[in-house]
Amino acid sequence: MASSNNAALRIGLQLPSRLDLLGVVDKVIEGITEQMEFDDVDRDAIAISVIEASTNAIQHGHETDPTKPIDIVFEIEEDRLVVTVHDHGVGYVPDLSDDPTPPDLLSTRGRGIFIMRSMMDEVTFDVTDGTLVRLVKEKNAGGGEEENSG
Amino acid sequence: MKVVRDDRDAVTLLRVEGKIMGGPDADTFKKVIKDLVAEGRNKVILDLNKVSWVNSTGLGILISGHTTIKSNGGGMALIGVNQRIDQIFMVTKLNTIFQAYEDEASALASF
Repeated sequence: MASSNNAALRIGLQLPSRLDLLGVVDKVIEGITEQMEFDDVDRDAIAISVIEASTNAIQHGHETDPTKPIDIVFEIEEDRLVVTVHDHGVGYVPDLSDDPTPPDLLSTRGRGIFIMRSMMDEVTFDVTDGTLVRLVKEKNAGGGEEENSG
Repeated sequence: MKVVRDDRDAVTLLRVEGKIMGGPDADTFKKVIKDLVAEGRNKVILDLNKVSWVNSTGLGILISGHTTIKSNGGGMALIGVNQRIDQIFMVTKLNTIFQAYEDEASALASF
């Protein structure tokens, strides 16, 4: 699905930094990915990844302060979905130079960025008045970095 | 997240409902596991049929519970793992530590 002039269709969502509202984000993703006709595996991958980025924004960017809103923008293009998740905290850019590596199996934390990089086709971070995470999923691309890197 | 406990002889069935995603969920789950271990109950079936999704923080909660049960000589079996949860287990390789079963009978038979 794309707009008739081939420009990306933008859908924005702003919500207070509350984990219980991630269910709302999930529903919006469900609607968009269904409209774009992503398959079930990709729909789940997108939902999991956007929820991860949003969880980080809420917990780490805003320390779960509900007075601070996070901004999520969906850019719907002909063959891909671009999602940005923006918080207004101190800003964090992880080292993405290596292939994604899972943490130790029994570690109770440290999987969020690995999951996003494994499930999406592109994941980038930018420090612009907080942290801006950009997630890209191509249609019919077959998977994220983990699969691409073998 | 809501956890309903159902003791079945030596095995305890924990029916989890909602989303496992951190915040107060961690304390809720830790308390249930802590109570079980204190009572000497270390065989647990975690029923995820009514769990829509788990995020990375929620994975940490499940791993913490698994570790506590295992370190007390027991085991934790999972049932009701939906496609989305299965996908996150596969990507993180946690399917190698969480044993998932088709149904309650199969999980019970694993102990």
